[in-house]
Amino acid sequence: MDIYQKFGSYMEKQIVKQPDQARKKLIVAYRAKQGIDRMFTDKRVPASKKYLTKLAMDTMIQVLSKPEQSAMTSLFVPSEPLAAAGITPYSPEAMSSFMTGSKIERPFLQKTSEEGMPDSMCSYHRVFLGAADTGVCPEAPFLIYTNLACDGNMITFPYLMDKYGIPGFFIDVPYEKTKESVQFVADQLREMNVFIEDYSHKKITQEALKQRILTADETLKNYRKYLHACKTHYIGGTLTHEMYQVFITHMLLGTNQAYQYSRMLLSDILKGEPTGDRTKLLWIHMMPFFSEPMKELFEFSDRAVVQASDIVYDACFSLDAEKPFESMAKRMVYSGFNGSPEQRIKNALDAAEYTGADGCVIFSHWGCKTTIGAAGLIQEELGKKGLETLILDGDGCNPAGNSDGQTKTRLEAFLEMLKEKER
Amino acid sequence: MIYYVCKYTPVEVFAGFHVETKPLEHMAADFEHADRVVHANLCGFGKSVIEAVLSGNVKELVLVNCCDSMRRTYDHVKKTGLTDFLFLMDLPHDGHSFCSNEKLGREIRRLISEYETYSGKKFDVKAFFQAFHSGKAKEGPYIGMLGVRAGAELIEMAQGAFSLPVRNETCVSGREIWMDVPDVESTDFSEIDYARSLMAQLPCRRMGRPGARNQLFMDPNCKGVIYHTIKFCDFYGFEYAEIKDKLEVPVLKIETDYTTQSLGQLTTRIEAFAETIGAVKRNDEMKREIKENGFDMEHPEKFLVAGIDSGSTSTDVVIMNGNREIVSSLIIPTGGGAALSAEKCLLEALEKCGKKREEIARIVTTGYGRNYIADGDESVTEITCHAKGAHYLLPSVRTIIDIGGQDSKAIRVDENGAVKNFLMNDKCAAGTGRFLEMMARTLGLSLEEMSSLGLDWKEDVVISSMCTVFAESEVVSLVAQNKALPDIIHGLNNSVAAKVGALAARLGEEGDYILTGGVAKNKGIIKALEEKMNVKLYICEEAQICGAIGAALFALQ
Repeated sequence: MDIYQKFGSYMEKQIVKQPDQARKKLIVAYRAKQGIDRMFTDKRVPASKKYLTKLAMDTMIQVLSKPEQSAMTSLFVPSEPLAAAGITPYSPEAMSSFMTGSKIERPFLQKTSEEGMPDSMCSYHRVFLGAADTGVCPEAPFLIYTNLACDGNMITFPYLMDKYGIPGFFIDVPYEKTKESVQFVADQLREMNVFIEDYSHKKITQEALKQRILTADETLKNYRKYLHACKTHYIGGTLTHEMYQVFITHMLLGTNQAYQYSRMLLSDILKGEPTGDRTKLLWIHMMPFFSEPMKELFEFSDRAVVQASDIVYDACFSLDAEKPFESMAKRMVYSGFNGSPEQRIKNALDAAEYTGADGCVIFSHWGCKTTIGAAGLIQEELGKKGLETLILDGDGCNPAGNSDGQTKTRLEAFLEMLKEKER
Repeated sequence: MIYYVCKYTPVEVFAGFHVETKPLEHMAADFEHADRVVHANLCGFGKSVIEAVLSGNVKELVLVNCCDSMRRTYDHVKKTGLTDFLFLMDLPHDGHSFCSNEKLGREIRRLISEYETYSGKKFDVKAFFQAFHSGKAKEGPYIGMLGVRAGAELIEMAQGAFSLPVRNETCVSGREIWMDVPDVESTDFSEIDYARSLMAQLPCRRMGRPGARNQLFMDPNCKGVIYHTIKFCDFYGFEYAEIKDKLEVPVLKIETDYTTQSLGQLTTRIEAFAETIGAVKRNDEMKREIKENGFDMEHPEKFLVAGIDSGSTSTDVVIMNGNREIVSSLIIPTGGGAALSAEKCLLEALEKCGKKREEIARIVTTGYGRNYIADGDESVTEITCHAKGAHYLLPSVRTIIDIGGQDSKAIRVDENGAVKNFLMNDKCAAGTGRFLEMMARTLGLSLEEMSSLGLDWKEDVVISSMCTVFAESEVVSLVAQNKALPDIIHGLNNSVAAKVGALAARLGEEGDYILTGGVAKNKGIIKALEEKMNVKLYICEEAQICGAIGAALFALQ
């Protein structure tokens, strides 16, 4: 039993017996982990990814220790207005990933089962709902959510509003990608700005928002350059690092820290070694970063590398600081996660071309009807364009929903298939 | 014929084209065609729509962008190319904002325009206005079918079980549109007013402000609720979790995969629910007079009845006398059909106590095979029988945990042994005797060996998978890692205890507790359950024949 499992085992008991104490112990443990990382640095990890780990951990510690300075947000809610107001984004999805990474997700999932919540629901939401119900995760002063990407938001966030008795703002993103839809969302984002000001008691000046949009745009430009450099260059990292990228392109986008990271990342990749014989993969949807066979195959590996995920590539959108609300609205409406799968297919093909991916893996995350329902269609269309694609069933946030044996066999067979094709 | 799937569909538009509309509401027999094109974990209703299109039954279809599953259903239907007219309407989430109504209004105009192009017909405003009419007010007591859409077959089945009318108030039903119709001949209509009317309906759970749905749960005429969910439809599964403790009327939660295959198991539960709330619709056969002429008040011990529990794994018979004493009992494996096993078991039980078939005044059957046993005078569901039997064995019992071969149940009873509430596992085998049987087979052990081996564990091995298939693969991998058998079995026991314990927790804590069913013989499971639930379980020799005892007691009544 490794140290993480021991910690998880100890915390599971704490959560059941003393949930109020469990949160404090989690904060202590995360801070201790940061200390350990500083003392025993892994030389294989480039500076940028060390900084990324720090940013992600800082965000989680901040949310757990000072929730009054945060706002609960679903992943696709534009982060720039929050950055302009200096509010920490408190993402249930990210928090759930941290809980799973800390190996303490089981009591939370068990709690939702006991409450009768459906087991078929996405585990990113279930883990958080369980953590909220046990009292381990704190309440924020307000929340903002959108229907974009996941119906789970439409269940989780209204539940949290009722549970905590806090105000909430909902952004309704229409199905069709039209100018009218962009205007419809932009108008809502303007209202959202006022909502944030009202409930955070902080003024978001036009200048501050413009600056955050500019910073976000520069961050995404660097990120696109990084992805392109991945075509020929390689830097090592863990699957957890890959998961953390979502912090940069979504939750922390618009902050100076995210921009700083993007610069460091670009600098690291340009100094990186050639990709060599590694099989380069594009990942569609979330990633089971805890999966042992996946770690074996992809972490600091000479065999294969996951270069990008579509959720991150999707965010790499040009923004116009002169039209902040329209820019953010356009990013939402034209997201591959909105509407029909056509845009997602197009994004995947663009990303594969841009990063030189040899193949693609669609992770059919249990409970995500958007991806599960589109998986076959995406696979077929990518196949037509010559991009070999594997559909891998599993769960990105609940280790019990994955079969390690199956994952290993399917991924290895897929890599063998791609290598064979190369020959 | 235009088919539609959602109550927000602007069906009055089609009256303006003099075309008939109909909700697509039939459950599929199976998903033979749909499973070939779509992932198995898409919701059953979405798959039933794809199945209907692939089988050529639906040519004109209007879908609504209600949820992730319906969006993907639309993509797949579109790809088949088998529909002549297909439209996806984008439905806003908030019916209270002008912008949302304006947006829906644009969708209505788009629908009219696309149908005009497709059909070559001209939209008739007058006919459109004539389609609006006020519905009849519904009065009197009823059983509410709530939750996600229930297929016509399910509604019909439920209607057959209750003496009260079953009112379909699931998401697609209860469509009520009110709109001011102009007195003068009008050549156009306000799409925003029409959109507002559509959005003013009682909201479905997917809408942004579903609070108004509370009126569904508070109607004083509603005497009981059957709450229907479909596997992988989270909106309604979640709503049930939210409202279950707030409802003041009895509620039964059922889950289907939207195939008619689910209906067999549900019949038991719906009939048991009707029994619980005293609203059973008895047919003539079920109303047979109780044979009182054989009862001798002076010698009740001579009056004999029998209870037969025809389960998926075993058939149990209890013969009881007028003093409520068990005269004979027997358990045999169910094989060769429910009727044959029941007959064999009854005859052997009679032989055991030296009695003859003619001496049995009355027989009540229960269990999965209850309706197939010709010998029975009446059949009662195993839920009601378990409650009766458990109360007989332990009068202070309030919670019964029954782990059978095919399903597990948690039943709450009152001080008289009447069912107050109950929960059953879904179709998944996790947490049932079948799960343990499969795991025993994987480990090459007998069930008896499984029962005691797990008590001598040393390392706390965790079997995290609830799914039987995944758990089996996990067990195989633990064996490969040379983990000790007792440790693996202990992990399996904990896995079953977690599933069944969650069922009991959802019912709420109330003792005393009794464990019944074949698994009550498994010492490892008993210990794991007691630890998980932090309660003491009452275990007795008669635990496995609890259902048959209950049936015999009903025969006496």
